Amino acid sequence: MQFKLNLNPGQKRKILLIIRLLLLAAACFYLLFLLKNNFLIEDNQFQLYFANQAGSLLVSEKRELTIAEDKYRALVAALIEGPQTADLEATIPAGVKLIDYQIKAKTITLNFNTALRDNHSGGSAGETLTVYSIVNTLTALSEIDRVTILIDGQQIDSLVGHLDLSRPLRYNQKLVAGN
Amino acid sequence: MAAELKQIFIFLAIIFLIIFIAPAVLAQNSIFFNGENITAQIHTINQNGELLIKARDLAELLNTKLSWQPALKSLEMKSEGVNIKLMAASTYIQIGNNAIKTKSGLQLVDNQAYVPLAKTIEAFGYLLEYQQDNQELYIYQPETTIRDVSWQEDGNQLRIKMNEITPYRVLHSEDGRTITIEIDKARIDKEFSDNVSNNNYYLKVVNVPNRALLRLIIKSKNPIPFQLDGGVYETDDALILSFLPQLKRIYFNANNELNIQATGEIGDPEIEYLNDGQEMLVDIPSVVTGNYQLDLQDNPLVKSVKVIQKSLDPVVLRVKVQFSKGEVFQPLNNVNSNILSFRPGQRAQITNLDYHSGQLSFYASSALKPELFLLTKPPRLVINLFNTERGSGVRDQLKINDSKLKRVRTARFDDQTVRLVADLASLTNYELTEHKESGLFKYTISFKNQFKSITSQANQNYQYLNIDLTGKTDYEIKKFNYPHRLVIDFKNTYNNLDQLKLPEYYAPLVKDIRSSNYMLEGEEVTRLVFELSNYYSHKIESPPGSSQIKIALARKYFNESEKIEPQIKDHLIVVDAGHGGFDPGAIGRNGLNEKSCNLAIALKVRNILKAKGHNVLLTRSKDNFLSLQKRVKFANKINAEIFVSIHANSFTNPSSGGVETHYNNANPASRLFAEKIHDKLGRSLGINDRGIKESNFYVIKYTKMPSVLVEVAFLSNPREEKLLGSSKFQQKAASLIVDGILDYLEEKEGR
Repeated sequence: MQFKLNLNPGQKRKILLIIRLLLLAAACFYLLFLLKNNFLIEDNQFQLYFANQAGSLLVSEKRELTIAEDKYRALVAALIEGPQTADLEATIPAGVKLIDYQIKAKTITLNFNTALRDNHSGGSAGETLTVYSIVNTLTALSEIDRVTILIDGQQIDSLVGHLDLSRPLRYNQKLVAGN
Repeated sequence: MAAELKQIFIFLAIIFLIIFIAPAVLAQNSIFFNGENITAQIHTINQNGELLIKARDLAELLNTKLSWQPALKSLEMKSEGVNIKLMAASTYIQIGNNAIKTKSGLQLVDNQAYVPLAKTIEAFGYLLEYQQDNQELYIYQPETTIRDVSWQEDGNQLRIKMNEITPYRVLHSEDGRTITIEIDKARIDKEFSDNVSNNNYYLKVVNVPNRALLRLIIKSKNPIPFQLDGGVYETDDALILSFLPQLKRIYFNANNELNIQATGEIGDPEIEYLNDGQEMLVDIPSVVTGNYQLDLQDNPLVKSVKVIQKSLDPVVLRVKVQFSKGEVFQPLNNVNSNILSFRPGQRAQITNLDYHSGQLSFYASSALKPELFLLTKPPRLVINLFNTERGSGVRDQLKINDSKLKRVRTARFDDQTVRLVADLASLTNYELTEHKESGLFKYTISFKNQFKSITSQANQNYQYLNIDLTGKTDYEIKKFNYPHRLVIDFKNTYNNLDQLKLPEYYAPLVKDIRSSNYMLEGEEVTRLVFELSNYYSHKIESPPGSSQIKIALARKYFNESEKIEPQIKDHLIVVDAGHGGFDPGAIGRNGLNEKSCNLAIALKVRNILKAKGHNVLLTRSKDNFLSLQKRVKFANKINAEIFVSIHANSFTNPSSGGVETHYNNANPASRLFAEKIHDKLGRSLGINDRGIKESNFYVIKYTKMPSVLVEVAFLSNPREEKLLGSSKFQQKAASLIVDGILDYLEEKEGR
């Protein structure tokens, strides 16, 4: 098929101008991308575990956290803050603070204030999800295998009367949705 | 046409506006100097979007000398070797021998000189940070000085020497070729030397204006071998980043061995052979490509060697070796932990081919990637083992002739490959597993059982159910009541019931046969369910673990004593009401305490069991606190036969609800106990069935007898809270729990 454009010089100029502008715009976008990839801060990705709405399972939420100094505190803080995904439920009661923590032989010992127990709404479902949201989030890190939870520096048998916390806990695959 | 052009034009114009006029206009309301709010002490003006400060205020703040030459209208400030000069009507600031452009330059207002704050103060070595959407400007004196950045330890460490360690961040780009170290409140030393840049690395130091931080950006031609987690250490005067080992050299040594050398320790590689052994892939964990040397000296055995970074998360380096003559290289045991060595002409030896109850196994001297496929006529499984040869214990033929396999033949398929052919009795599923055993690799192919037939015959007294499988199998038979049914769980069995002709005539005792598959503790289980028309006594007439199961159902009881007294006595049952005393447990929205409804249900359970003549003890019968340890000790000390803990559940979402039964595998009988109890509760309590759960709960873990913990309903769900408070619902829950207890005890009695 033969196709010929009949354009007067004015139209030609306009089209040329547009092509130039498009090229310039493309160059600008390319530059912006280059800048973005090279100079903007690249955040780290973490898996945070929150409860599903039924209160039966944990669902992982991929989160980019800018880690200033302390990855572990930042992860606990993100758990306390709650999920960003709409259909997930927070697992940590109000007022909870991480007092301090210690890592030894791939076991992290997290020392929480008493709010974790006192403000907890109870129930084995609630307790299981609270504890394993913490345990699974931290053991998802390659350097952590086990988690021990202390309340105000004290060893506990259980948080609110069901789950055995007298021994360090490992990642719980059964509680994770999609298994 | 013209209108369209116009539209395109406007569109482009808007894009340009967005791109170029994006930076917001500065407007600081507060200015902080070393943390102190000095807004009220200084005079500032805004001009051309730039903040200007009265020169005298600035001189006082920084304690600098200021001189003004009216004739030239020029201003000079001096401090610690820094000398800056501004002139009216010029937008430049002269700093030493350099001049930088500002927006406004020196401005005279009411006969007072004003100078651009940001540029001037930066010239004196101060750092600026804008916060709160540019509402606040912070001026800091640098807290640390970066003196030197250099490689250490054969390029495995990067050392950043600085006066003091201030907060920092280490960031990696996605492609792994850029590493950015952000250091807060840092400045670069005047005598800083770049000892990092070389033919592979390039260091760039960026002062991030407005954020009071310094960025050290290191770019590399190759992925930088950073460790994904950690790898950053602090000393008193340095920050140390330690890297993963890098590939250093690939070469042939004097013994004609191919060596892959890294700058550090090499972990266990994965080795795979492709294209009938023409090609070898070596995947090395935690090593990255570096400036490595490829030194093959035209070795005739190797055509090419390629190195790629297979992945960065996790870090895996892939070395791809193509052989030219079909001479295969095999890994040697590591002598030097930094070197992987391969010797030509060695093949993996296959040894000890064996078959035992549905499992075919053999050993190999190195890891293999067996290729398996099924052929239908006649049914057989073909196993190709590349780059291997037959060793001891592998004969041409292994005769089996059982229900699954007729025989296994072995042969050299071609130059590189040993082929095993398993002649099957019928097509079946299989599973291949690999594990290391004293330096050798053991491969096991498990052939799954399938159902051969299910038949049923009835005579006057009994109805027999016969289940025939292709092999001996692990199974468990359970009976559930209301509705009455007999359940058989098979392990390692392929569910081929849809291909099977089931008896058309089940009657009189069997109503229906169903099957399902589910996972039980990580293993797939095929469940066969016989729906019974009533309760019938049953007897298993085949020995356990056989391939033929024969069950007799009888209208009459097999055991005469059961007929007269089908009840179980002298069983000590402990019922545990959760929480109590100062521990209320969960609390409902309308104020119902978990401790009270737990106790109410536990008391009802006791009463029903007592009325039936059973021996029941409660851990608590009133509102008092008992630790978890005490509850466990109580049940263990009196040697209870079974333990039931009664609880009510709670969750933050008020709409979730239902009944759960928990068990723990500490006592293997607990699961059946839980199944029996939950069979009643899940089916008949009238609320959502949340199922049976294996849980790490204290009281069911440390009690020695079969134990369950029942979460009757959710107090956090207003509808269920109402139910939990009603005596009728409590009675219903209690009687269903009792039914489950009796069902379990009856089955244990072996009725």
